[in-house]
Amino acid sequence: MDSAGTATATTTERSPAMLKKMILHTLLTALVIGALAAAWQARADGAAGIVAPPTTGNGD
Amino acid sequence: MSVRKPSAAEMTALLAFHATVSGAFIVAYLTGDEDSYGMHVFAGYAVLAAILLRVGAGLLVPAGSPLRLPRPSAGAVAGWLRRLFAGDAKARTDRSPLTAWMAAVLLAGVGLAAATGAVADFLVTVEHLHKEIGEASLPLILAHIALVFALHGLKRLPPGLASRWTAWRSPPANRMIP
Repeated sequence: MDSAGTATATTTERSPAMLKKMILHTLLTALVIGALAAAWQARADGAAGIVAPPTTGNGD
Repeated sequence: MSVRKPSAAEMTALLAFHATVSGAFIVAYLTGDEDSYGMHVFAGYAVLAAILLRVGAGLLVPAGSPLRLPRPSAGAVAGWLRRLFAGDAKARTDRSPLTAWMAAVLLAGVGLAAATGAVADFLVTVEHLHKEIGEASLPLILAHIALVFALHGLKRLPPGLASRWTAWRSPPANRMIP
């Protein structure tokens, strides 16, 4: 981007439609990444559960 | 140097970058506690990957490309502010040089938060630093949102307001309210 900020900008056009689009994209991406991250954690937790199954707490 | 308008592919790349960094940052920020550590790490690496790709692209593209990295300039901001307060209507509709500062600060702040997070994944002593930088990134993002809406609002001000402001600032002897 130049000194006027043209590029990074990511937000080169700031029409109301573009702003709405960017906000919507952000929220949708947050949902997708959140879902992927949750799957990643579930997979990691599942693997950990297989390696060391949770104890029942009653001495078994 | 003037920068041309982005092509459709460049615009898509810029939008994808913005969406990935902002979306992943939201997830990383909300999952910082121990129960969701795996999610936090996943989202944090997504932020880091997007920023590394963006910086790489910014360094490799030729001069004049809209994908170039931000070049903040204090002189450009001062000139823009002078034009704005002088009532120049074009200053309100032109792209503000403040966005280059905001983009550079955000890239540095969020990039540093993501990079220290990746280091903390292997080196626990960096954990505290990562947490502090991560917390400091939120006000940066809120400032970015406020700036975007403020600049957007500036464009929508009625044209007469600027000339009234100029008249108000002029010495009383020369004052002429339109």
